[in-house]
Amino acid sequence: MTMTQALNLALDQALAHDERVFLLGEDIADPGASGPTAKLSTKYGVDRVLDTPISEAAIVGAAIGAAMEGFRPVAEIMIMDFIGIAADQIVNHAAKLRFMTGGRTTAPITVRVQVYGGLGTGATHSQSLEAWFMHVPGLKVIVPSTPRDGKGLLTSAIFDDDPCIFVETIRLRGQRGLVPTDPAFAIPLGQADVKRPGTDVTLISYGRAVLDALGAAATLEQEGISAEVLDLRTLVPLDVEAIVESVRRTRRAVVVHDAVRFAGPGAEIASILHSELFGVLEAPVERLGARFVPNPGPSALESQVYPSADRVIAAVQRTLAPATVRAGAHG
Amino acid sequence: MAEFEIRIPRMSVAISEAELLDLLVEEGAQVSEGDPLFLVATDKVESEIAAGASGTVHWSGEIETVYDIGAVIGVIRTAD
Amino acid sequence: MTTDLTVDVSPEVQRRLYELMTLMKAADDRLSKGIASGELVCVYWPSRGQEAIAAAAGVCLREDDRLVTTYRGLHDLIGKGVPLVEIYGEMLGRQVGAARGKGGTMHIARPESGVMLSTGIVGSGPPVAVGLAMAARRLGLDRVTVASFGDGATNTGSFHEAANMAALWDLPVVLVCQNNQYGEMTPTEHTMKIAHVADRAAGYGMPGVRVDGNDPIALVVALTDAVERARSGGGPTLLECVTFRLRGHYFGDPMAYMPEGQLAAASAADPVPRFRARLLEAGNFGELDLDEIERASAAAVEEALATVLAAPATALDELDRDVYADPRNCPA
Repeated sequence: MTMTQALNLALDQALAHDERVFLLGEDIADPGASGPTAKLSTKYGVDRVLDTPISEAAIVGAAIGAAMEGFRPVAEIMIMDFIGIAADQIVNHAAKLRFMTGGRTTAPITVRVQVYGGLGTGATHSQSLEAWFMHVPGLKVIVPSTPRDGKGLLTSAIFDDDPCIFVETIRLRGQRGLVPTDPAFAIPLGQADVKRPGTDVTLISYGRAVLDALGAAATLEQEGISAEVLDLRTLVPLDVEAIVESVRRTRRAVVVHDAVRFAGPGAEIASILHSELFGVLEAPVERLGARFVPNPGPSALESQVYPSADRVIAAVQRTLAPATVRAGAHG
Repeated sequence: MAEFEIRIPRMSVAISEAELLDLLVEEGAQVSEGDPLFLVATDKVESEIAAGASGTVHWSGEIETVYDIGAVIGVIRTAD
Repeated sequence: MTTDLTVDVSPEVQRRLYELMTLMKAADDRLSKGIASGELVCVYWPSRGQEAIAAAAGVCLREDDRLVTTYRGLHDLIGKGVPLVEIYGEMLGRQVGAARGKGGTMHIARPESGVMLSTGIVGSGPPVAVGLAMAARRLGLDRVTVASFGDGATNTGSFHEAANMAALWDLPVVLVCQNNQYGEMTPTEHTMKIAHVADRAAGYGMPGVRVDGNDPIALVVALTDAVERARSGGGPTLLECVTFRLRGHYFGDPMAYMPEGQLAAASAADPVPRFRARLLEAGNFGELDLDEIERASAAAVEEALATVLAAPATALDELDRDVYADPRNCPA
């Protein structure tokens, strides 16, 4: 099953099993729908899979209002770059209602967003903005890398009592994998997953960059280096226990993500590791992320922006180099 | 004689790859520009791709295989 | 619109309107006096002068009808039935507040009274009202959602998105614009080309009605019509209620931006004494009746304030509650 089919399955089963669930967003109903919402309006009707005007603030605001009344709306922001228009509703209402009203109102919405990075769509249709939302107390942030995780995590997000930002990645749509079809299958939020065990270094990642980490780990194995790949799956809640446990064993870590490196999720993770494992680490935690530039249009340039398996390998080698060499390399 | 490369086309913004579903002409067959040439599938949407030139078709791609957008799956050898 | 007390609303409704307006005014007056003297320490965005609109909503809406209001919401909250103790308690950081005192002045909600959201962000309420109305329809309930906001909100994209969506789907929404003639410190005519906010309604395909926002009877007539239209499936209405903000944007606002004489003129049109005069003129109530209503309102305010001041302050452990459903989800 592909990632698209897995996400479609999660939405389909949620609609089938719970009357409180409905979807709203731009071009999500048939025949205009493509991707994870395709065929659902035909199956469940346009009352439960609603095409909306191009109105991101109202899409999320309406989801919040309905959620306050007990519904479980799943709002789609077609491309993550458009979320700025809805950010007020997400940040000032959804995230804070439970706290501001002492629990009297809550907004258990799911906002599905899609990252178009790597497709040559340029600076306004490509960004990985998950760090923005990690910074807002009250939100949960989820980024699956496999079809199985996509199904399990989306199911959990829809029925979670907190507002969830669910980040899908177009470049992962064609990823294939086994997915349990049992409607009860869900993956708890806040549990990282070891995608590949190893002993010499931990590659900490999420979303598309997990593929880079896995690619690097396969190559490194041929060089006799055993890399563990830890897929965070959710950024908030963050599975600090799993991160620290893994790096305590391997004593080296590389964090890799498609979000911009500067002030990216990796900064928080590296900081946690340096605090928790000072004296245990054999080398400073390496961080890889997108370059600090607006994404360019041409593929040849855009490919320079993102991490790659080769860059992960180079980072691993830096963590393995003797301290004197490292000092020179970074000097 | 010139060669026209047959590539996996980008049929949507939201795709990075597509499956070569079927070849609609035999190896070595003659086609005219605009003739149906092969089928691709993206997100369960099938598209029929027409020949971009006239000439003799030589395939290098395999059906039921997923290719990146822009990947070369054959050539059309043109008469000029 | 000229209204006739004797035909438009019953004496019972007239009394209720005056009770609500005097309670709203007394609640504002007492708070203002307390803040000004240093007796009470809190932030406050005063609603003084806009009481007629909230009182009309109070008599036109059912308890289960929904209200989305703003940080300038003291009057709206009272009108919709939120107990004064919960409002003052929230403003003053006491455990008897609507959110046990942790949400603050701007963010009071009380679903039991139908108040689902007070937003601190100008223009952010209408999209949520759209969702509340969608929910009512899905639940098969005939409840109406009122979104209350100021003139400034109608300049936001958020308002536009929500108005368009509410009209598109014929949702049971009433968009109540309390046009108090200023958006924060800037006069309305400096921020929009049109003279009447109600004219915006045409652009959404919904009725737009402009009414004297200091005339509770005219407001009841207009609001009854809009609420009935929404409840019966006729879709939303934009109701522009023209009023004035007598204490500025925030409490303590020196109102340096206000032209000479404007405040004096607005004070002369203060809806509360104006309604009193009108009630007396119509003859259903005498001086003593209305004095008694005012006394009761003032006493209710004093009693609520005493309860709040005697209540414990918001507990420090509230900080760690309600960030997530499960506190273990909070990063360390």
